[in-house]
Amino acid sequence: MKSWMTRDAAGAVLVMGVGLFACLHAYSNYSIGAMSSPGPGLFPVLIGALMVVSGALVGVQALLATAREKGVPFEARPLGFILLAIAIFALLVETTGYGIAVPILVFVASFADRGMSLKLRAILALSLTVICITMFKLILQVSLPVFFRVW
Amino acid sequence: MGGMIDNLTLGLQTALMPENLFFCFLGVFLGTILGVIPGIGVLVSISLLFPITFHIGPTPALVMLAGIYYGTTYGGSTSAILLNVPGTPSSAVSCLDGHPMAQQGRAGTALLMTTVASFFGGSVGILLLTGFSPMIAASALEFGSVEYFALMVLGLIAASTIAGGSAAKGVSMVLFGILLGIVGSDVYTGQLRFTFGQQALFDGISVIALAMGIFGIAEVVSSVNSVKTASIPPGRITFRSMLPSVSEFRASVMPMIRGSGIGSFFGALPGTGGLIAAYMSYAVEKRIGDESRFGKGAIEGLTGPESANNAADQTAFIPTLTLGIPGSPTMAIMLGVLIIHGIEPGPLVLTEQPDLFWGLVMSFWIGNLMLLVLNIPMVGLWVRLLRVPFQLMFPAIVMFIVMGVLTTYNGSLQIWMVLILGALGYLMRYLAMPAAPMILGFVLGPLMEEHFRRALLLSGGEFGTFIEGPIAQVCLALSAGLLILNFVGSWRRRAARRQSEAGLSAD
Repeated sequence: MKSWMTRDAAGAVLVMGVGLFACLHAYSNYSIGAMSSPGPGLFPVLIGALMVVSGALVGVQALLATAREKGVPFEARPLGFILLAIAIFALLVETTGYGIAVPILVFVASFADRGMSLKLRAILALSLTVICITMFKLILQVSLPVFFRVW
Repeated sequence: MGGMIDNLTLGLQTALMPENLFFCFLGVFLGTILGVIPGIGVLVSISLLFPITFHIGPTPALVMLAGIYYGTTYGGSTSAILLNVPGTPSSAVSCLDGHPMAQQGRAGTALLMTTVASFFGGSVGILLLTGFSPMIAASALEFGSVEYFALMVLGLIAASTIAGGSAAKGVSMVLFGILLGIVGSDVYTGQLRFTFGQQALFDGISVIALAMGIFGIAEVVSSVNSVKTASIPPGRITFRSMLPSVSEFRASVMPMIRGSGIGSFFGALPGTGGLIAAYMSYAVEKRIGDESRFGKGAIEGLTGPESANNAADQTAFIPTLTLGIPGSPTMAIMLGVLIIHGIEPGPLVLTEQPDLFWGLVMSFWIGNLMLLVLNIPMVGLWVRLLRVPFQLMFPAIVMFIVMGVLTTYNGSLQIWMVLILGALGYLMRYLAMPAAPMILGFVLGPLMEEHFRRALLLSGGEFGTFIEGPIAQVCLALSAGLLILNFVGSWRRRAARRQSEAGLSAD
């Protein structure tokens, strides 16, 4: 028994949802104006409505599809570690400077790949930090603090 | 014709300025490197290096980005030939006959002839760009908002249907892109739209954050486990081994000419571009030549498509620069650079910024020449680069994405934007929703809205104004035709599949 909730159907629901939300949000918050002097609400209402229609078409195609398209696997590990690394970087960088945030970013992001030893990950993090500081601080002379607010 | 000579002289003077020469070299050099590495396409390359363009003028910025663009096409074929892995999608066709050539020990010849064919195709594309742009721009000067709106509709529909796949999905993503594009304050009234009180959104979503998120991050995430370091065929590539035999060279001449023609045509159309041009050229050569040789190292199966995709790279600039309507996501990003530098894209660029336009065009010659010179002696370096495992490469890419955003915006607010858009981009990719139409919609959305509202204002609220005039009618009719064709096509495919399945179960 195959579920009707294929990837295409999920995409359709997403598009219709975003479109419906945009349409209603624009309709209730921004002025539509008259046709001869359109306000800021008119265009987003139309685009949102069109999204509902095109999303519905994607949905119809998904439901009619006989053969299930084989999609790419969900890369949970790379996605998780790379997003986590960026989030930690964004939290740290304004206080610690990028001289500390970059090695942590690289170290955490490297876990997206399974096959590296801890030592290799650490070496990678340190060498990329050296490249980064050389490039941004010494060559491009970007005026962002490297270590806290000291350097 | 005197005007043209003045233009070309001005262009050459601009392109030869030390600053522009330097950024042209930087662009083609980095473009080739990033093109060689599988898993990093032209969009990732451009979004990685995009932040640099904030600190330089519009001309060197465009010269550099354009260099990256056609540089990746050159580099992409190197890994296609040596590894059987296209470095960029548009060089996928080069695997078919290029890799067999490498396996037969003819890697050197394949690489040299690819470079020659690319240079030839690029040159034809530049000539057409030089010849046609002034004419198109001149006729576009009379376009009003109605015509622009119709042209944009056509461009977006073409981009979301021709490249294959479901038109409904493509159009959905274009619309999603338009919505993301209108976030921020409204041009006419200053009203904040879809900002939800978030300060990061008041100025709108930046094209950098979007490109880095939906192309950079999403691309890296899906490449980590899929890009494998393949083994390179043994044998050193010496200069002697690169020289083609007379018969190989002769067999390449006509394919290169045909390929350049095919590529120039498809490059200028919205929604097509290098990959489709290369496939078309391959199909044509296969039909003309001895079919049994193809796929087994036929040189014409390599040189034709290579001329085609490089010609397409150059003619893709015609609609972007003369009409302000990009045909591909890369061109959309180029347009974004123009807008960031305060230049309104459209036919006026040619008359009001002649040094920018002609300087850019002439820089293509210089860039292509640099690539010709760069590629041949540096093959050894590219080969070594291909041996670096992707697991060491991807953390560096993530670092450059994040540092690029940080140094552009001096704060972490936009890094969060990239993170959210990256997650969205990966979700879209997982759901098989195409990301390319989204960035086109994003860049064109605000322009479309402006023309839409202006047209309504001028006509006093008559919706009929959108189908007035031959240009608007032709554009909208073509758009409708493309949509219908796509729906009929997918319905037929479904019917055929059902029939074949029925046939299978009957057996």
